[in-house]
Amino acid sequence: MEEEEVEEKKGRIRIEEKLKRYEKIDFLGEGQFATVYKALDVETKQIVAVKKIKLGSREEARDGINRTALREIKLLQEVHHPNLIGLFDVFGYKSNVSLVFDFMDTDLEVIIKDTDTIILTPSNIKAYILQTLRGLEFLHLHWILHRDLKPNNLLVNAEGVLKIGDFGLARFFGSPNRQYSHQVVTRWYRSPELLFGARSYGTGVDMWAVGCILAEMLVRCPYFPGDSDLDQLTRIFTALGTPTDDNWKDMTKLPDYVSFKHFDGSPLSDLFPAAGDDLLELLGSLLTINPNKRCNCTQALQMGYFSNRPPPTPGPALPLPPNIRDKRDQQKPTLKRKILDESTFGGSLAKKLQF
Amino acid sequence: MGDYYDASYEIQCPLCRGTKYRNPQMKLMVNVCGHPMCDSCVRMYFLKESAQCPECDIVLKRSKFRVQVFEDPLVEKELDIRRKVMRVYNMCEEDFETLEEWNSYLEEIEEIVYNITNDINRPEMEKKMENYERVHKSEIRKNYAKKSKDEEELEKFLDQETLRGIERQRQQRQELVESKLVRERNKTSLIKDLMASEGDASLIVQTHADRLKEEQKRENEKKREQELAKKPSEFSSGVKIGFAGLGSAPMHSYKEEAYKYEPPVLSPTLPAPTWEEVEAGGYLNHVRRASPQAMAGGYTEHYACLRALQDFMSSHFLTSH
Repeated sequence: MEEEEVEEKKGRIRIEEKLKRYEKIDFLGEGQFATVYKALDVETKQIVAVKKIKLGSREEARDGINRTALREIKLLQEVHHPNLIGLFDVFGYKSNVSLVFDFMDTDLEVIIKDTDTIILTPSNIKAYILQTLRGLEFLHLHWILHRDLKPNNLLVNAEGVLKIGDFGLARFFGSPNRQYSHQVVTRWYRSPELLFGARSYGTGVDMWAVGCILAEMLVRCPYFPGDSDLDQLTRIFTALGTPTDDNWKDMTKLPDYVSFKHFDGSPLSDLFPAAGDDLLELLGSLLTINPNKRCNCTQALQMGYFSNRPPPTPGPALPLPPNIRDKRDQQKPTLKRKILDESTFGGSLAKKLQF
Repeated sequence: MGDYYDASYEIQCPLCRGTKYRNPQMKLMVNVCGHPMCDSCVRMYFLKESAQCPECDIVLKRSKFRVQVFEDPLVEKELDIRRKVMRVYNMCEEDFETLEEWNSYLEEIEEIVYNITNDINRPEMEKKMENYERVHKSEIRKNYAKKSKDEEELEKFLDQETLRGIERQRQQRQELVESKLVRERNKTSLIKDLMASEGDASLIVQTHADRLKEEQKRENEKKREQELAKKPSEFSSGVKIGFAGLGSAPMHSYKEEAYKYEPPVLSPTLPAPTWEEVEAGGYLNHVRRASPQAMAGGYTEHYACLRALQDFMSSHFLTSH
């Protein structure tokens, strides 16, 4: 009996230590399942993001803990890659569970939407999509589907490193007997097979989402912003052409298949007149309607687009929203100032207005 | 109005109320007082050389009118005044001992310009300028001379640059002519050889081609050496490369490297077959086929087979930890 009590006490002390270890700095946001805080890890002096999971309804918490949180913990503990969000720590307190992640300054949605101050050059786009695909390749090689890729879940820090985040919908795949939900992925990034209700699918669902994200980066607004599942399919088929049984075998056998009016679709070079041939090759392969003909991450990364010129922008040179850029600049003095300090001009430049 | 709308159509002459919309040739002119009027009004009012400004009654000269560049006529007026003031206040930074003195000097200029433009204490300001001019007469003249010297030097540089350009063009033309000659010579010698010798024709052609290649290589090397020899040491503006610490990269440049695919590093495991091997090696004969419906959704039996094999292999790989 006594031993048990001691054990329990030890556990409590450990948890209290952990509570002390993370000092709350700021409130970052609130989602359906969790609240996220910015915090300082006292031990490592690192800024982290603490995601406090809401308990949710009894149904959701059937296993004692919210399922999305459980998935996130289970999967993230297995994979470690520079382009995947890192899970540092998990701790519970009373009935709460908190996850400790890498702190990320912004996400791709903010970057894409900030059309006033951010210009995305072809090199920038290449760098972002490259990082996305490398993270995703690692996931897929570990038999994990993300199932919720969208710009909002592609997190970017001040050093220009992109990490895939939010594994709340991620699952292991490749089990022959298991049926999977098709109600995954935010609609705008949902692939045609999911929209037709497929219950068995593969990496293609993530690849389609990457294609939508790439298209969104090019045109700077969501490429297929459907307002219902049917509208979503209509938008896809009007742009790319309605699939037939010839180019998508057994499509009619999918559970929610509905036949669509025939659209011819336009060639990608007409839809993206500013994109180069190598980029169109990648985009065309990602946005192939038949999932079996869509490329996988490894194939995509080996395409000419990534090795061709221009090379992807190195992380620290990637464009960021002004407030984060300022933060980055504050941390290290700019070279401009350095040159002036070192030069023989006496350390400062006189103001001068000459007409 | 769609695509045809242009904000400049709204510009209106304050005198005749004509707009650019009705008269696309209309140009707004402005004089020292900063009150604009259109070019036809100028012609009307200034039949004689000088007349009063219809707005502020200042006497203006026709020759002083010029096309209004900035939308705000006040800016034009300010520029005029600034030019006048700068003619008197023409010191350079080097003429001052400390930065503070130089800054207060600039501050003084700005004050005078602002006050005259906005008609604050105008007579006083003008008096101040006159005083300054009287006191610093010799210096002002000296500075003029210095400035013209600077300009002279710049002109010299520009002249040199055009000369260099002409020289370059001449060289290029010469090279072109020479290469044409060489080609011609080679061709005739080849034909001669073919005619004269008894040997294998293809062999002769081959040796000729080889020799040509060799010559080309030598030529290219020579060219490269020449180019290296006259590497420019100055920017076109006449500033020396490597000037005052600017030689080191002026911008933070990060190394840009072309991407080359490298497969990700996975945790060590026994070798499992790849996707292609699963297909070719007959492994798929021993797993249940995916239903047509599952196939249509992008699932194939490859996934299940490959995953099972990989799971098996990695669970039989023992690591030390």
